[in-house]
Amino acid sequence: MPGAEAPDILLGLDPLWLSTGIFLATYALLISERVHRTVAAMLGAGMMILSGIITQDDAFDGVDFNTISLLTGMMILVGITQRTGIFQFVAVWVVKKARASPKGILLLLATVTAVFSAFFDNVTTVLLIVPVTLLIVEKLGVSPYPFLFAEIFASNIGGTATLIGDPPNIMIGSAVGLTFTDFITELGPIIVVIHLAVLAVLYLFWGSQLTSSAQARASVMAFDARSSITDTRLLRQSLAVMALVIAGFIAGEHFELQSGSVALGGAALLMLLYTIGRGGREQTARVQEVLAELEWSTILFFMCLFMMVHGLKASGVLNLLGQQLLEMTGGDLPATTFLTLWLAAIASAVIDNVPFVATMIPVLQSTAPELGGAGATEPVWWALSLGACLGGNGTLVGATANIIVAGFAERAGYPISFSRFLLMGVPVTLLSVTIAGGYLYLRHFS
Amino acid sequence: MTTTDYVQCSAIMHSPPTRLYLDSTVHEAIELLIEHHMYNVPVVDSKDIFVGEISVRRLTGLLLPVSLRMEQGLKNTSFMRETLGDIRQRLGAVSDNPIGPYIATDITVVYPDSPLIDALMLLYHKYIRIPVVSRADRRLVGAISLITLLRSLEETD
Repeated sequence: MPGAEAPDILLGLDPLWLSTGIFLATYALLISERVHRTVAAMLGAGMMILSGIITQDDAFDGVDFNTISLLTGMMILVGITQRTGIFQFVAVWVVKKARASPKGILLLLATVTAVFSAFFDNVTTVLLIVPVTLLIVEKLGVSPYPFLFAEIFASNIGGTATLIGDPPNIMIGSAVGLTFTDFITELGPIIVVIHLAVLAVLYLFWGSQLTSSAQARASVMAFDARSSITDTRLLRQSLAVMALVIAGFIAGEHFELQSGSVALGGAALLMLLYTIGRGGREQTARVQEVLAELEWSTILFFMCLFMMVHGLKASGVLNLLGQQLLEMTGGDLPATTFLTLWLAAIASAVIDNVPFVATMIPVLQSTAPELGGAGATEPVWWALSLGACLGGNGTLVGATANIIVAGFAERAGYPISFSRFLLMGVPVTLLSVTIAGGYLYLRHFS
Repeated sequence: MTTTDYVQCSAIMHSPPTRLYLDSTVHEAIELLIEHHMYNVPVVDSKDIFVGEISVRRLTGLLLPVSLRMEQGLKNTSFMRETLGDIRQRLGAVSDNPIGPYIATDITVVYPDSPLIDALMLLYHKYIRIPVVSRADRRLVGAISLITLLRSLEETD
């Protein structure tokens, strides 16, 4: 039997150029938004296989199933937890703690958004917090703009703080072996500083307009936060499982238990609690309901993206890009770190940060030997995470959460145009990335 | 008309139908709906061209905070405590506004020469009252409801 042969490349083309062409064409489709991003990624991955750059087996090997499991598990956990009304409860509770003062509400609701975004996905967080916010500002008779901008910025900033807060962090953590504890100890403190700095800017800009009548505040104070909870038993179960999952993320580091397994395990446990004791029909209905709400298109998008990037890696393109990066920075770790930070921030402001990070991970991995080995390059990974997540605040299209909030604002009669967003987004991004850069310098290079 | 004729909408439609104009106010729309015990009224422009309808459901939406009536708006409202004064205030804020921005425009219509079964299917699946418009210029020429249909059936008995 003859030995295994390399697959034939389409028309005998150079795989380096062919894979680059497929990749750029897919990116062009993603940027143009004329084709759904999942369809674009499916076409890209399919072309990598059909053109012979990688085999189907290679493509499946390229998928990071830890990331896919973590995403899926967290989607299930969030999907069930949100049914309890906990998001509305916390939002109304903090509003009452602020005595319905618009200034206090701005600070506290933004902080709640940041904290929820650190542990749940940003889109779910804004989908649940923004309608409550719009209701409260309508009651108070104040402009919703300061609150909506604060919540957009807080969701992207808060999501940066943990392994599970934003998809780029999930991918980076999984690829490089950075744990939940690593993320929260390395990024948590600086995210608190950035969040407070951005709130200070918003307060300076809008603070004087944040006033309301005593009567309006009284109507908000009449809200009963406890009534938001729709299912107390499920809430207790959801919070217990979430606590177990987070404990699992932390403890798993010591038992070689990957975060994807922990999240899927937690999702399975919560689904069991959500369905157990019900009749067969109701169990089926509940399981189907939860699974129907999963973002399957996002999961498929990630899988195809991994396949496409694997094709790029197999053809040697990413190694070349890594070498180019090293040439630009002269193999200097601080220079590589800061270049990565700003490149990620700028790119993430204009394109989806998920494909960008998926591409950058193997590029940066290829530079590790020149930069002193995998252990020494940790600052580069933090730079990639900070840049990719914070960059989402740069433009209206920088993150899905931004677009969701803008949609709400438009429907409420307060449109947020691209240019209006830029006026706030660019200064906030410059400020937060500069703070992040200063932090990386002080922590790793001073 | 006999019970063996194939029936078109023009044979049973109520004409001329009750209507509102784009510049009618919310207050006028409420008055009309109450006076005629109707759930929805066709809305026409100054040339009598059909542009949409205003319904009790749409007008009820105006009594709610925006965040509750918008797409993907707040569903869980059990924490809210509302007074009649709150509702009156929201109604007062829009009462003198023209109905134009509040009408539904994605309304399926039938034509005078449409088979009656088309109207019957719409009554079954979607609407309480169906506008009948002229095929040439979408001028509002009639309306069909279950009541008009039942009356026609009685008359042909």
